Amino acid sequence: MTDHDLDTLMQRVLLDSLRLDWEKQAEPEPAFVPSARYKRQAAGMLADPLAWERKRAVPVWKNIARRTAAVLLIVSIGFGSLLAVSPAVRAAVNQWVIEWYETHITYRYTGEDMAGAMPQYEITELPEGYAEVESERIDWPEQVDIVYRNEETGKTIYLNYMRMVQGSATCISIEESEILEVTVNGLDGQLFWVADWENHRNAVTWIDPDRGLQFMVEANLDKTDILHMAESVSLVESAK
Amino acid sequence: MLIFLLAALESEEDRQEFAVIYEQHHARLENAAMRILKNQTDAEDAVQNAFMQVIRHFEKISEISCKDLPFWLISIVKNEALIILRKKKKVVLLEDWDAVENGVSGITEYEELVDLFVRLPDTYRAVLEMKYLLGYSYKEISIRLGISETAVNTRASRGRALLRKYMEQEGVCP
Repeated sequence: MTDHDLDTLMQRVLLDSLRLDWEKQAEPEPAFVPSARYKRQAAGMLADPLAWERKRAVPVWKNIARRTAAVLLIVSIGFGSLLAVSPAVRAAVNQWVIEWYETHITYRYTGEDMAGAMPQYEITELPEGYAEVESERIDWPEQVDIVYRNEETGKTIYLNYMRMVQGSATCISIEESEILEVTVNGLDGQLFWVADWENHRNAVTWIDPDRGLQFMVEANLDKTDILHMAESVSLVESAK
Repeated sequence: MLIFLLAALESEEDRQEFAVIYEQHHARLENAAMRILKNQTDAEDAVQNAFMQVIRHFEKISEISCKDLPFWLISIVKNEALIILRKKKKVVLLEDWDAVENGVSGITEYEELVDLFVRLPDTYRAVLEMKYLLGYSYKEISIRLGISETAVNTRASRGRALLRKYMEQEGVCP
């Protein structure tokens, strides 16, 4: 028997063992009852599998410029105690918890759920050559993804904003990024920046606590331009 | 990452095929994840992580026969569930390989061999499934399971040796 024959047989045995194992199993207890979040994710995945996978997999950046040696936990004023990296961040975080890890940052919402339909925002000052790609827009009950593309260069700008619900979180990889504290129209946020922005997208995120929304703009742009675009994100329709 | 994704799932035909795979199999994967994790949130993560693997390896997935595809997918979600368990440190590795070897004398039928593999310790099955069904390298398996590459190599070699021993000794064929 050759190695190839053995590998083929191994595949067969493993598949048959999976089948046999499956046939022996009873229904799971507790039963799988999909959450609203899971159903939304599934809808997004089916609408555009590649875009969903890209969004779910955190971006990879290069040239680590800043690392945290330990977890820094920022707790909102509403919870009393506070371990702050920046007073400006603390002031902006009303009902949010921002968890700083060595490789990523998690924004976790812990306040009451915000009700109502999603408002409509747009980037109103796009660089020349960019236009919205309607077919790649995702409108979910609590998240909107908008794609702008320059057909000539193939570069893409992403605007994402989500309404945070109890227990939800956004996770951003900070590997190989420099993290800068910024303000966007008076709202505190973070800029994730790499020097080689032509080949790697930079991102800026900020939170509007009054509206219960977290925004993110990703683009192959330098600091000044991406912040300018972020500041041009404007409400165009209060509810769809 | 986008480089290898561009080869598949760009066409409408691929997307429809992916949608069919999802509709036909998602319930099975959800149940499989729930059996292992017994936690709704964890099970949802395992299923979504499994579909991420399907999307990333869609070209290979789409070549699998309809008869075998459900169990390929179950293998993927089982391993994603195992990874979640390991990260939560809820899994204690039981490495009783001697018991497997000692308890299998007298196998004469293929079905008995299959049953033997059903009873393999979880980490051994995970390594064998990741290597022989899903095509991961030893390094990738070691990272995903949180064990050394040496440990991965040992488990793969033992599984392979077990199969070879009984194929040669008993002349058992499927």
